[in-house]
Amino acid sequence: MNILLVCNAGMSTGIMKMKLEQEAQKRNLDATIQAIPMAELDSYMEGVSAIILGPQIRFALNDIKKSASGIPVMAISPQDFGMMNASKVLDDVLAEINK
Amino acid sequence: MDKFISFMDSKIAPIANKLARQKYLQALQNTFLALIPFMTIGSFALIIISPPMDYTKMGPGALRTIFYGWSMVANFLSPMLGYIYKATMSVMSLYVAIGLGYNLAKHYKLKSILPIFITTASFFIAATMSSDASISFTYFDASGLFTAILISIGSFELYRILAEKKVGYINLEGGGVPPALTDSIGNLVPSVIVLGAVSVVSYIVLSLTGSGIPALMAVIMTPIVKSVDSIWGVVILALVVMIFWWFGIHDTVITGPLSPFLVNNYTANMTAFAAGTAATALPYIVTEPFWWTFMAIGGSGATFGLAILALTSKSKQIKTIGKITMIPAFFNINEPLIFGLPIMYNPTLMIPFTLVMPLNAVVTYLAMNSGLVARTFADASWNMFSPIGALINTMDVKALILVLFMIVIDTIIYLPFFKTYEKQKLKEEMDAGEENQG
Repeated sequence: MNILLVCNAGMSTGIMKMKLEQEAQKRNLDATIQAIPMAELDSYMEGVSAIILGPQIRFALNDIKKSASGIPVMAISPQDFGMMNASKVLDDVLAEINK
Repeated sequence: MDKFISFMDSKIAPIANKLARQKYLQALQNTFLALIPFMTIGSFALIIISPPMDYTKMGPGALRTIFYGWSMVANFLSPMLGYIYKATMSVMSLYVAIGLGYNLAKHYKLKSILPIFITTASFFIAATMSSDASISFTYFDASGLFTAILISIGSFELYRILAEKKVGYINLEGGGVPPALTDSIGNLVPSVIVLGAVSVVSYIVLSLTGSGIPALMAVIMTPIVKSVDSIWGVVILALVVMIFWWFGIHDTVITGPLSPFLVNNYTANMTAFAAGTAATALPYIVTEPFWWTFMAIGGSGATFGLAILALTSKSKQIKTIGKITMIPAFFNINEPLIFGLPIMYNPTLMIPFTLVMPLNAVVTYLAMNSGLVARTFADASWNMFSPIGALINTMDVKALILVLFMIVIDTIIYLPFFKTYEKQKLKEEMDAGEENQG
């Protein structure tokens, strides 16, 4: 499973990426998580299972959904992002993928 | 307040989206991101060969020994580092032309390298054309930045449209020609048209004004550059940025279009410093490092002090956020604080959050304008802990003291609002605790 974590510069989501990796490991999930800047999203889309956005760029959600051609896209809620609640975020992503 | 929030979400968010996802701004942003290593290398090369104090004018002591040693190192490394500086900062606009060609080609999924050649050659023509037919590289440095942006986008788009319409397309397919060649040779005619057009326009500008496109661009851009580099300009920009952040919207909407100006000002300062201008007399005050190191201490909203307050809070929830946010705060990252504390939609914290960063701008502007603190000519990157970054970016110890002073001031301003918010949280936590017991 290949998850893209997108924020403006790919910096602040770096912490979330670490937490998500730990969480995936805990659950014995085989998941690769990449934190990337929004401007480079287009060149990363191939072979991706889900795209999740930091709340600071949630305004781009619909736009990215359109260009993602079927890849599940979701925005992390501000609360989950602030508390770095990786377990909840991972639950949401898995639910989104299995929908 | 609810009305205001729903207005922002329904009206401003789509605009933010349009701006942030705008192809030229994204291409420019990617180009600047890719250039960060070069700017850092250029900065450090320049700093190493420019000891901030002259040891011959110092009294004996450890400090004199340090600066004596520094100047020996500088003399020894100067020939080599000088070229590194010239190959990075002195031809910055050339890299912008290359980077824009690359990123725009990527956006349109053009596989050939030709668009990059086109934007680079177009910039070359526009930047070097002079009335005596000689080639001058003056505008390859930061002074040609706006020309590089305009010419690269213009030439790329003209090329793309001509190539898409297959204007004069030479079809070589099926002739056993390698695919890489079919594209390059196939688009010979569009290439000729684009380079021809850039030459003609440059020549017309040259004939009419006596100097080329870069000089004309400078005249056109000066009013905007001047207003960005003014105390009112920077205060208004900072206020708008903070209102966006209060809604949890990333500042790229403002700072994206702003970045060419901030980079222009900072690199112009660097060029002036390299040419021997004193750091207190550099041409610009508001620059890339001015914004990210002096204003956004601990992240947008100057939340470094707030992070410390959160870490030492009696409220469990706030303290948890403090623990998450303290280390990122050293690297000027504060999203956990904005979304976790939260500051977003928080009426109690809105006042200090929106006012502290503009205040830092005013304090720093006045200190630099009066010559009390040196202006910025290097950029240790926005992730550098601000006090250290301030020292590196100005090579002035007073800049470090200024940032420490502002951290104290910012914390004092945040304090009463934070205490009010903490009281609310403590009460909530106590009520919840009582419920659990009962």
